[in-house]
Amino acid sequence: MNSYLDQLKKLPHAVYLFTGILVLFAILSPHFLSMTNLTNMVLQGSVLLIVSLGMTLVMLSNGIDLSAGALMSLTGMTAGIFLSKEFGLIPALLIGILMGLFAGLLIGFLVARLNFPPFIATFGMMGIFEGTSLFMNKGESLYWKESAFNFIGNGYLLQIPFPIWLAASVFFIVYILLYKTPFGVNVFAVGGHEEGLRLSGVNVKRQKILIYMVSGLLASVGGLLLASRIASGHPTVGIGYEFEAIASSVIGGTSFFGGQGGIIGTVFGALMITLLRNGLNLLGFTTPYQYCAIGLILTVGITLNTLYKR
Amino acid sequence: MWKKWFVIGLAFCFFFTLIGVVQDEASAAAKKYKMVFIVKSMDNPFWNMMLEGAQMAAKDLGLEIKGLAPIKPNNVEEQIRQMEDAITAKMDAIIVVPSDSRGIIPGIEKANRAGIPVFTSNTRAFGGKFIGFAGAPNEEAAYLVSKAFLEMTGGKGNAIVLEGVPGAQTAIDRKTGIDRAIKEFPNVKVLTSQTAKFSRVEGMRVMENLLQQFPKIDLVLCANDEMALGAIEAIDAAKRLKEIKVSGFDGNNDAINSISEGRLVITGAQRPDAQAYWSVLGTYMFLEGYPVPRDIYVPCPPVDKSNVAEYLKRIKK
Amino acid sequence: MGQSKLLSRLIILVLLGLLLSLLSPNFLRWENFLNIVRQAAILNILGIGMTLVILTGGIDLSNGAVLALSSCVSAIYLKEGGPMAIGIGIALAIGLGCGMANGWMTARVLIPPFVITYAMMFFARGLAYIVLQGKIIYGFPKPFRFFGAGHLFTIPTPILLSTAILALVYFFLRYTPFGADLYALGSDEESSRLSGIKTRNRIILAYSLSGILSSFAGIIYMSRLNAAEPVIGEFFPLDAIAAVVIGGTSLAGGEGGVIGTAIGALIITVIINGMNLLGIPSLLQSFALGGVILIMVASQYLSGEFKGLPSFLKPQTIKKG
Repeated sequence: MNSYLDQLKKLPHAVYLFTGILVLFAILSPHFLSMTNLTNMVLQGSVLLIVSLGMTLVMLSNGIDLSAGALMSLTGMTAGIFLSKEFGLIPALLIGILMGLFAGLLIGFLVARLNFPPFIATFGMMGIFEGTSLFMNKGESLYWKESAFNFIGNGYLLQIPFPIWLAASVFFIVYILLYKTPFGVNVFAVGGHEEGLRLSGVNVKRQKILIYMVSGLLASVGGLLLASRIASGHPTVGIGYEFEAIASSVIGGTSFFGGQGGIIGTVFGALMITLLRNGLNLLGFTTPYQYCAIGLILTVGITLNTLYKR
Repeated sequence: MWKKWFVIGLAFCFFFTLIGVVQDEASAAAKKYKMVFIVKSMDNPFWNMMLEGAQMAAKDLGLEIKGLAPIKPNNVEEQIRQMEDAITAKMDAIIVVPSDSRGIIPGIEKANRAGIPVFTSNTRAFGGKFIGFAGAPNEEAAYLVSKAFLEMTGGKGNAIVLEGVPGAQTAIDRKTGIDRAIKEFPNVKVLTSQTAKFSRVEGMRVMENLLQQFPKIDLVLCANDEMALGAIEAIDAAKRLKEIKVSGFDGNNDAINSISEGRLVITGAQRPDAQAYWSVLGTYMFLEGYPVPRDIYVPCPPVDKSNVAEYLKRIKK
Repeated sequence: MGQSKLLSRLIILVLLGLLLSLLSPNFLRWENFLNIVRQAAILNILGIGMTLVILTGGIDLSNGAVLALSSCVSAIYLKEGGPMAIGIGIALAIGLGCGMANGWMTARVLIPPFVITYAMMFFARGLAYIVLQGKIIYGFPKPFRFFGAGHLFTIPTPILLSTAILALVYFFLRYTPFGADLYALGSDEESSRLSGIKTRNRIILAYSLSGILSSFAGIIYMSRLNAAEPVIGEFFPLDAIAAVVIGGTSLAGGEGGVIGTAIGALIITVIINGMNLLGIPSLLQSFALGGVILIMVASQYLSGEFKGLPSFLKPQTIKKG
């Protein structure tokens, strides 16, 4: 019996937070616990989840990525161009993925080789990505004719929305990457004791670049999913996601200073943010009250979290 | 010690949430239909007036209407999410003002699949099945307002056009109307046409930039009043209000006041509350089984110094 | 603050100015200079508040929302015709309150500043909308417009106000024990506390000041826009952080200062001004700004500033909690 309690204690506190709020909403709103709504909620959180996973990896290595949201928009726009010119589904997906890898490579280069502080490097890149997205179609959205691409965001597989499948798959892949490969071990190590890692012979610079490439890739996948959900490429649709991703990670227990945290917490952090928006909608809060409630609930929740840790 | 604080915090939270629930439950009693009215943002009083108009209709017809707006202004993804939530909550109908006339289509299609009727208000959607549209004839009205403006100001000089949110059908139509009017005045030279996203703050910022860039500006044609008002502040601060004339569109209260003060030259009086009322009415009629006109055009007459008095009266009321 | 760091920023500013004066005839006009400094004023004030917070190793994401909330509430009061002093007082009080809440939660409950100011951002912004019920307040009395749109001896008021604040805070940081404490606790919180500095109170002080300064910036902004609406300030946190970071203050805390931030704010404003004068369309401006920031930092790297680990990558001393 004792060992059960110990197991429970090991779970990231975000789980308790999430469950608590879930229960709260379930009590307060009749519709909440319906299968439709819960599915809806996870569906809506899938984009955030994918991007947050990338952000967590970066934060674990003591970095930050402010350009994630802008990269999402840019990927959507780029895929949009391919789709609107009818180059086909696969090329569009490929270009999106390549875009993410390339962006991550660029950022990684700035941070690892040129020693830019990650905040500045990604802040600058954010502007560049955003400007490029806006410039690509003069600030307007990009549309395409009916395409299989729209299935990604709006289709169903065995009664479950495809985005949920996508998010779950991404989670499993990242889980394995982080906890079962040397790459993952190094992610924690770069964040926790970079100097020691370097001294033990690991190519820290290359590791950092790889980390940003993975997170860039994840942001792009999120961007493709997002573009599919709105069936268009929109130049500014991703703005703000980077903050939500950071918040998901921090609420999930990942420290700003690296080395501490994990992606299970992030999942619950992302779900919690989505839960808040969804639940408040159902409870009839108009948007201004939603703002306030999110602020309050986040505060109370994170307070409980922090206090409980001690 | 800490326990005291977080119990208080928790209680605060609970209480707050309960307010929302109680509001919801109380109004849910014995209402004929439940609808959701989704506008584009909270940063323009125009949308607030729409929601007020919707609530007036709700009261008159015995309906329950929840007004929603995306937290990030004009964000179509959030609008789609709100539509999804409305579908989950089994609303009887959804009335939406699409932020992006094409981007909203997946949301409409989802509602179509769930069998929930969708009515588009103020701004068209370019796809999906919706039961009707109620709004301003934007292109025609913008054309008339701009034409009157150019006639009043002598029809010559350097002009700047401030556009609305990129991708929104209202912005597209108004720009078309403005451009059509400008074409009829060959002595008007368009220096640049830029977006200020229908926002007062953006209008001021972009105008500040343009004032630095162009030493000689005569006319500023704005696709809505908010941008015009922001631009006027920038122009006034640069002490160029005497030489630069500004036009807007919407007819909101601040614009009416501005016209009577002689700062704004002309606007087109959209009646957002009327548009919303017609939208709710049209949806109600549909639910009751009546045929509904495909397009309900709510006229927007130009308002300038000569006829501003009657609009002023309406505000004072 | 490191003199050479300040100097390098000044040089960058001057070089930018030279470049722009070559590229555009309109740049060197007195009117344009005034424009630049005036536009930089609000960014400056927000940046100063942000500097204080970052010096303690924290961050304040709520400055825009607090600015909006305090503006909206005091606008209601001002529009009703109440005395201006009280209206301003209300705004500052709200800023103080929000700042204190941020500081208290950070210092006593030990919530990461990112999260608490992120939550405050939502809370304050929501309140701003609720308070105004979706309306915009427009049209303030002439005496109030003095703050944002007035002049004193041909110099726009915002410039005078922001310079005054800059001087005050500089003095505060350099010549008072409170200032020294902020630097100390930023670089090493544990040992600062052990050596007797009331670190918690200093943190609360820093956030409170950030809140008050946000409100003050709001007054100038409101006065300039001649309106108060809940939507203002959405990107202010990032802009302020950019000014701080470009100005040389380290994100890990303990290093930097407000003069650097002021130069950083000027650099950003000059770049935007240059883009306007050169006719770069608004759509491309974020691209250009991002690019210039990167180029600037790269040049700092080449000039040797980043040799070795940037300070916040150094192994952290154990922060309590």
